[in-house]
Amino acid sequence: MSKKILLIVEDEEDMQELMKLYIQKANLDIEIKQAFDGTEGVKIYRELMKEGKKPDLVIMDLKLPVMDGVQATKEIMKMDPDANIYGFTAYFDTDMSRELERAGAKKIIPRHEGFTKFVDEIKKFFGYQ
Amino acid sequence: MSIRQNDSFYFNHESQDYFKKIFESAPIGIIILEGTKIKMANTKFAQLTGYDIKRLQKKDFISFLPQHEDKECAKTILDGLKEDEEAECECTIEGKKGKYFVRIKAKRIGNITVMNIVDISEIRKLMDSSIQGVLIYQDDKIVYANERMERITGYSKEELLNMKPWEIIAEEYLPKLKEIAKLRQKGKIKETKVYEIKIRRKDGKIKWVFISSTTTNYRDKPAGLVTMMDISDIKTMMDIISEREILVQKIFDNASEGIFIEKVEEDKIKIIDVNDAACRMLGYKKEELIGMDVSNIIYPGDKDVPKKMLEMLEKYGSKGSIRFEGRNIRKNGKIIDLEISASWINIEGEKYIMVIARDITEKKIAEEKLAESEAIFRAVAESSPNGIFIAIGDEITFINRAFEKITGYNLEEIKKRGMPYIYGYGDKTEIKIKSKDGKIKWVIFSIKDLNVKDKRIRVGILTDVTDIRMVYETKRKFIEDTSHYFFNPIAIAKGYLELAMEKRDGERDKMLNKVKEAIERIESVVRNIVEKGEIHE
Repeated sequence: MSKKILLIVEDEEDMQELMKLYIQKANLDIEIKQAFDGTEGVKIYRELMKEGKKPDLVIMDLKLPVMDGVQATKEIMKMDPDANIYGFTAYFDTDMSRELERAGAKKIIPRHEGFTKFVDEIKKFFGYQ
Repeated sequence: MSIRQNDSFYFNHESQDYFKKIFESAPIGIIILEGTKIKMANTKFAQLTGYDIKRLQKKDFISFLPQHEDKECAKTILDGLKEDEEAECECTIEGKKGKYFVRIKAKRIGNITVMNIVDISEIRKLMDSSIQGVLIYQDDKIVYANERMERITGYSKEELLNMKPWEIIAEEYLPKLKEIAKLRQKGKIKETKVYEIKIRRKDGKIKWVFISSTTTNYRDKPAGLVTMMDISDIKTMMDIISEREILVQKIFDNASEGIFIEKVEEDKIKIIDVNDAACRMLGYKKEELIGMDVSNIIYPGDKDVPKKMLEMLEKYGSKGSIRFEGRNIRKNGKIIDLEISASWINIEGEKYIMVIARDITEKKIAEEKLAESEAIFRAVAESSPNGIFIAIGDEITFINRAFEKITGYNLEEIKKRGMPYIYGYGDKTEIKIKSKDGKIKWVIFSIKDLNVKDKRIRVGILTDVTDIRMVYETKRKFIEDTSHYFFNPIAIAKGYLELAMEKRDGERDKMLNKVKEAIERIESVVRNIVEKGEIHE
């Protein structure tokens, strides 16, 4: 059985690193793919989808360079209406986060709730709880 | 000249000459017959026949009668008359000069018959060619009928001559006229009477006729003489005219508008007739209005209107009616507004003015109120800070100044291009529009649809909330930026801190915990700023 794929679309390296560390700490058997802007995120999703290895979950930040999280979500949803996208953002409870949900994101994890909460949501999604 | 001897007259030679002169110069034809042979004839008879007197002697009188029935009639008279008996008949005689219609009176004296022959050709011609039907009846029989009578009744002359005179009269008139006819034939009524009656033609159709009935002398006996004129068409026309007159009168009496018939007398206009609606309109009785000078009912401010009306009628009246508005004063002093139509009419050769007036007082009041409402609406609409538009059907018919200011478009431009591009519709919805100068503006757009007399009227109100929106947007941006720029580093610091804290060292753990608490306090402040706009923990 192939490994689960998690695509993280986040422009801050420290954030990317922390998410990776916490997932590894939790011993989750997940392959992590990284994208640092919205365009890259859409590109990686498309390529993986072509290979038959589309990401099982996308973690999407909102404020991204080149293409923001809302637009990137719309692009991915257009490509794959069954895509699973979670927002992990500091813009929780703002118009932008509501836009992300309208674009197709299934959940918004507030960044201020911390990485422990973040990992709990990942575990819940992949059935580790 | 004559000697009366033993109660008989003795004619001497002198009297013979005298009577011979009378015989010769008589204005009527006289012949003396023995049997049917002419023994003597006078000059008049000779003129009638075209023969000289000598040649007439010994000629057979019957030879002058071309028609068979006349021959038979003459023979009967000549063979059947007794001494001193008289007989009369009308017949046609024919000589060298042609035919003549004559009336013959015959008397038997001894073995001779004296005939007086009167030429009635002219009279007969007149009767025959008359445009009126002529009928003579005697002894309950029609004895003469002219050609016109044939056409009127549909019976031939032969048929008529075998009928009783009342057989052509319609049943309803029969009893009276039959009685009169009988009395005429007895000579008991002589005066001429005229009637309008119905007759029944041979084909059963009923005709209206005008008859003049009198008594005449025919063949020495009273007879009835009738002249008849077919007035069926005239009667029909008169009935139609009468019905139309009644209809016109009904229309005049029952019209909802006031109708006045007026006449110009010197420099005044007088009311000649009015209908009931005119009386109700002005509050006068008919008899009060008739004969009144119209200036008495004209509003003082409109005193020149009658003069202007006459001028317009003189100028345009030949083409039809003229229309104008005016004011009258009712009997109770109330002023009424009228819509007036006036035209010339001709009644029995005289010129009158027909005025038809409709009371539009209520309509005028409504119009004034409407104009007032419109003026108020306009004042309110133009002074409103909100944009207002009105569309009737699909056409925008009004925009106020504020609408023009918000959108940048005037009414003509809106009509041509439609409403400014709208990013979304709704009922009382906040939407974005693009004004003429390309600016994006936020407006609250509310629409109300009305249905007035099957017309859709749409009223729209635009409230420019761009400034408010800008404040909101600024606030929103501040919150989003605060969220991003504060929460991100805080999240990163906390993340690493928690990882570091897993590495156990009592004192360091305590201090790291303090750091974590301090960060959490900052986080709490930032959350309050973002969520509540308040700066506190």
